[in-house]
Amino acid sequence: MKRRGPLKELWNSTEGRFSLVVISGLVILAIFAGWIAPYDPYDITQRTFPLQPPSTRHLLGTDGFGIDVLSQIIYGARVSLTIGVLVGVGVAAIGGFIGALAATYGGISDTLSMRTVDFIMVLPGLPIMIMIMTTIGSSFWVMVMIFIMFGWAGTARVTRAIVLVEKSRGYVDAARCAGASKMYVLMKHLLPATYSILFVTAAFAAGGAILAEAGLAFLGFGDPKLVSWGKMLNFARTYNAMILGAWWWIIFPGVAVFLASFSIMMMGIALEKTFNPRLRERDR
Amino acid sequence: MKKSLAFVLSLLVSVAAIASYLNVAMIGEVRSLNPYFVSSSAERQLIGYLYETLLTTQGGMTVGAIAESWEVSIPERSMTVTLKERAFHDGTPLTAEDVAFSFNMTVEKRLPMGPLLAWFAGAEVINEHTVKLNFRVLNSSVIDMIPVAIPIIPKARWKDVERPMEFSNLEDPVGTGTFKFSRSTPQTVTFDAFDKHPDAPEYISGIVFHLVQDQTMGFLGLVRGDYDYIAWDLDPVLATQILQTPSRYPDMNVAITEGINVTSVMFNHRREPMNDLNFRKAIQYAVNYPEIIERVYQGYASEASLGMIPSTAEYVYDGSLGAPVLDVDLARHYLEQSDYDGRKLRILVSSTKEQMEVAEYLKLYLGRIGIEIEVDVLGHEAVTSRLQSADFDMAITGYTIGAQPSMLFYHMHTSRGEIEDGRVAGYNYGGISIPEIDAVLNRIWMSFEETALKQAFVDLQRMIAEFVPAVPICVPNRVQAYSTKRFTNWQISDVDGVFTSETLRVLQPK
Amino acid sequence: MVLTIFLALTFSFLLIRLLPGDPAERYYGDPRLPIEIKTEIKAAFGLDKPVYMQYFIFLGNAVKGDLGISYTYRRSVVGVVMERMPWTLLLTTVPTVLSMVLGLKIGTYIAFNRLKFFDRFMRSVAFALNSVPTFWLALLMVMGFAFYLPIFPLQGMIDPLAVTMPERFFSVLRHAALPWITIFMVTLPSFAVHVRNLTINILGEDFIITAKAKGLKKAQIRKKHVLRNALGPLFSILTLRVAGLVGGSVLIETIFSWRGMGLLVLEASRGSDYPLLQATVLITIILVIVANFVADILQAVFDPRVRYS
Repeated sequence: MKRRGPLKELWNSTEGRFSLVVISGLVILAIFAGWIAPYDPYDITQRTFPLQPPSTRHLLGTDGFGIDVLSQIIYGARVSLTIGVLVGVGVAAIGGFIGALAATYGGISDTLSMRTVDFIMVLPGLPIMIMIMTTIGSSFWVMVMIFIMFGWAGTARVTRAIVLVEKSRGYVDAARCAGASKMYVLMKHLLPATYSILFVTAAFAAGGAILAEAGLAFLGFGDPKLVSWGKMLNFARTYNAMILGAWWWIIFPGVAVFLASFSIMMMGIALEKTFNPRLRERDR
Repeated sequence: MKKSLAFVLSLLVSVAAIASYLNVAMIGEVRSLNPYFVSSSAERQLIGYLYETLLTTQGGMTVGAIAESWEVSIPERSMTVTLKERAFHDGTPLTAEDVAFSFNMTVEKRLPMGPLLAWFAGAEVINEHTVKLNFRVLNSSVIDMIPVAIPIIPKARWKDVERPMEFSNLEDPVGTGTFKFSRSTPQTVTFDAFDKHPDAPEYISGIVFHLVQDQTMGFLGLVRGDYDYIAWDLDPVLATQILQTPSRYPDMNVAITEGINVTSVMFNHRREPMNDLNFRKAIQYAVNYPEIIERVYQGYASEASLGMIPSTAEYVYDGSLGAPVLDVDLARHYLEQSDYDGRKLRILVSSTKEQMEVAEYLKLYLGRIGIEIEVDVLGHEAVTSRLQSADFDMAITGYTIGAQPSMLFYHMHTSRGEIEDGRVAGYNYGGISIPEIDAVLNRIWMSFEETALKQAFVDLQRMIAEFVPAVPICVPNRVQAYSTKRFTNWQISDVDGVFTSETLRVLQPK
Repeated sequence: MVLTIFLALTFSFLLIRLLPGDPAERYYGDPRLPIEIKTEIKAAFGLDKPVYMQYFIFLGNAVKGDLGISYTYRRSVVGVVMERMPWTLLLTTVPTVLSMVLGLKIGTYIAFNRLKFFDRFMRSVAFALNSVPTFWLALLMVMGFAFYLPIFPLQGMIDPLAVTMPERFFSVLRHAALPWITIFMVTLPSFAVHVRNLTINILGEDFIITAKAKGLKKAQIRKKHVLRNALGPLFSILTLRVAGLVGGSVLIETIFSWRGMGLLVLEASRGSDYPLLQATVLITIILVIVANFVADILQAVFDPRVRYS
């Protein structure tokens, strides 16, 4: 039986369809923010009266600075999605590679990397991130690096487990007997076996990164130059949105964070189900 | 059921107990009450109630606090101070011995209290009520600064403190101030009125300071009546809302008074084209001042004086100079005269809402006359570090000179802008070096007599208006909120705002 | 374990060293001091010695439990951290333990009633909550139950005027309620689903099938076999949470103004109090490492499979 394309398979599940629609919507918003957003949040001349409730002119109202909330959410999608994609890819690449390497070569490299993984998994993430960002400064790229630094461990562990299973199958030994180097086997046979799971973990890492970015930006560690959802919430809290009754300033950015993270994680679940049909039975 | 009953009970108990204690919300932390080292504005305020200094400043002039009178001897480079009758919170009387100890400790223990102490040589006891302070250098700034900065502590309690820098003083701080320490919990500090102080409150029994984490919580507490005053300036947007919908905020009052902080554009005079007067004037004429006051500060700011000094420094403020105005043609004219080559300039700004917005507007205005700038937003500390290393073109900054205008010496004198080890020696980060301004500052420095001092300040403001070392944008108002739900008779002073020692003295519980 | 603690110490020493500028300067705060005073202060803190010497001094002091003096508190950082720890533990352990106990019950229940309505509901809630920013949820809770419906205090840990013991006790309880509810709301569903999945895996294992074949009743199976076997893996989930238990939740503590470890980290960061920042993070890491070590041993005791292998 010929396997259907993964995208098509995704489309066939409810979760998959939902996540594909939302994610592609967000991606379109992020890429064409300049055309889609009714106002440019970076342009000071396009500000109006602060704290206007949602209306036809400002669909989601304006914040305490007089900036259109909808436009900020559209522009903010850029930061969240970019962080999500970069961290997802980074975590999958680094975690996958180290995990596969550890499983293939075993011995000291295995012990060492798995010890590191154990260590990273139990670390208090946010305090350490705050410590690092306090000492070396907070910027977009620092944030991406830190998220990857904390994220790869889980992926490495999962990948290692899968490669170990794969390794015990006959064909690897056969390939080794035929004279293939360990590296060759790793690249040619073992890594491809992990691709499916890497996609899944990448999706979860991306969703987690979006949440983590919002959290850090909320605490004031976001990139000061960029409009982001977490920063909107930070300002909403700092500049008294609650007292001013500006619920739209608090609710909508939070919904945006939720939607982005939720749809990406949902995609992870959908992928997991297409790759691992046994789960389908359990968790229908 | 039982639990909810207990809730109600504990609520009732707490309401009954707070009767005549004023409840004040503060932002930040009180980590230590060591009066020599203050690390937050909350600590600074508390220390201000617990401890006193010899002198203090009021409306731009130096006046006595513990000092009854003082005499300056220029040849001896000294100052002889006669003390008022005061007692410490533990009942022991304040003597010259304590004052001398307080001053000498800074030298003996090498307390890092800034460059000022490089000028201080030691204090000696003349008699029980008289102390003589000796200086290495004598100028009016020494008198303005040192007796204003050193807290007077009881010798008996501090003489055994081996390392004052590592002394948190939270157990039982004792000073001579109008309030004495009572107790503290993780989120509150309670002070009792100190009846033996002549300016002690007459009707309230003390203050409970509530340390809150953010403005929203503090403000909500004020609305609900948990607090009577919040010790920070209200956000302009919020102030507008209170004033527009008073029915939603019963008992709430907003006191709008003149500010002491001059929001300005600082230039790095070491670089082209900022060292060119025509360029600076071009910028001065390019800014739409009313628009910034209206849009950024919601109207809660006053026009700045061309002479920089704000009106709260009432003794030296010169109101006749007027405010900078917008005149685009004139701005273009000055720009043509200048040697600006059209390159992109960067403006440094710290990440507070107002400063960021001012910078954005500046970018817009300068763009209109053909100066392209880029805004660099950094955290407060990063901004300071860039300023200290003189690594900037322009910056948005607040000159806090309303209370102590003589600080201008440190902001504008050539000597304070010299670079040592890659760092600016003083607060003159921009390296302002204008001989005419230096000359007047030197005069202020050596004026110990009131009329001469005032005249020197008048001349200084003219010079500043003429040479535009920085462009003053506006003076944000102080916007303070208080509640008359439980206390009345709040006093509003246009110079000091509403939460003054006078208010505390006469405030009455309802 | 000792090795990882050593690594953590080294890492934090290096990180603080990476900072631009002069560490002594950060202590005395003013770059414009006379040079001889600067030298004196440097000597007093051992900062005039070469970096490797400073490193050994740092390690030596750390072993003695001395991590330095806070720039802002003017006293030993370890003392400051230890004062905050109980508050954080109070905030985190109560809802975590509660959601564990309840999660165990609900989790096994939905495992046995899998694919029924309640199971689906629990799982979708858990999954959705995964993507809800916790701080936002907390913000909504404050907005709803402390502002619009003023049932709970807005923030803080204790009423300053509560003096007697019972007064203080109830005051803390009242202040902790809303953050507890928030944490509980977030942890319970995910915990229940964890238990569910574990149980389902165990149910598929041979010995359960044997038990069923022996004719044991559902309840008996649940009690005798499933719970006992789930305890081990559950323990390892718990160890992953130790960091959160000890280190506190920066975001939750910020929103409820709960002065625990999380707020301490933030506060130290804002005040550039590097020794305090370093100590808070280090002590959290060390406790986490120790807790994991203990958990490993305990797990071996509880989980028969680990013991026999």
